[in-house]
Amino acid sequence: MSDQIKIDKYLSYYYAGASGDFNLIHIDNEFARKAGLKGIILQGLCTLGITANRLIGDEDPARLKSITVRFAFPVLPEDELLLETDEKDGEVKFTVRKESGEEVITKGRSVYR
Amino acid sequence: MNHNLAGKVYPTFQYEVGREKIFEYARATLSKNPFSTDPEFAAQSHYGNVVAPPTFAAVYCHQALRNVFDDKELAMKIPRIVHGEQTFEFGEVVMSGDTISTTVTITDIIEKENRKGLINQFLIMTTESVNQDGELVCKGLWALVERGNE
Repeated sequence: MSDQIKIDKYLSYYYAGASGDFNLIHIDNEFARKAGLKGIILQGLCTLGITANRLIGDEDPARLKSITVRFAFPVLPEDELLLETDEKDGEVKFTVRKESGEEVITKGRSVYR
Repeated sequence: MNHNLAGKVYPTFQYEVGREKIFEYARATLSKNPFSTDPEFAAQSHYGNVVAPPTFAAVYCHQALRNVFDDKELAMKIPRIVHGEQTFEFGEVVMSGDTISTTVTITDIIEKENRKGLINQFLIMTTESVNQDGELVCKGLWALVERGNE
């Protein structure tokens, strides 16, 4: 199964406010470039949160027993992502990739009760 | 980073979960889950209250992790930090009005050479979060990477 995720241009600012993660690499382009990045990047935990919420859908949040991910590549503002899932025996293996191909979350695995 | 700090346990941090903070977090992570976004649905559910998305753990743990980021003895280079890997194991759900106590431990600090020959340092931490009744709500395994300089 695959599901599209569109990253709003300002999402890293909303997420900074919501989470408290105001690391400047997420909100200041000049600072991010000086730190060796192409520009501001989305907080990895924001990508993880979006992914976990998609996996839970409308169900009782208590169903999610565990989730594990590797952040393989930075997500940038206005990226379009695809969540690809493979479900087997109460466990979902998943990958998040950019529409351009790069995998941003690899080794994704979630377990349910 | 100061590798001698492996094993350090930081003081437990208490976080009070507010309903509007849950809504704010749910919006920032594009949740449409009615338990976390619809107060009437949540009130009529078996919880009778707004439930945080499971990864709200990032919020109450972030406040606890600030002690690590601000630790002068550890001397992290914050601009060079990126998130490498993350695992959350969930226990009881977290609801509006809960008080969550989180304890952070530095499990390990490891050096690894990447494909470009740069030395990256991996800060491995565990968090354990319990609610006001002492029930486990989340165990986190965090791997942050301090990227090496060219």
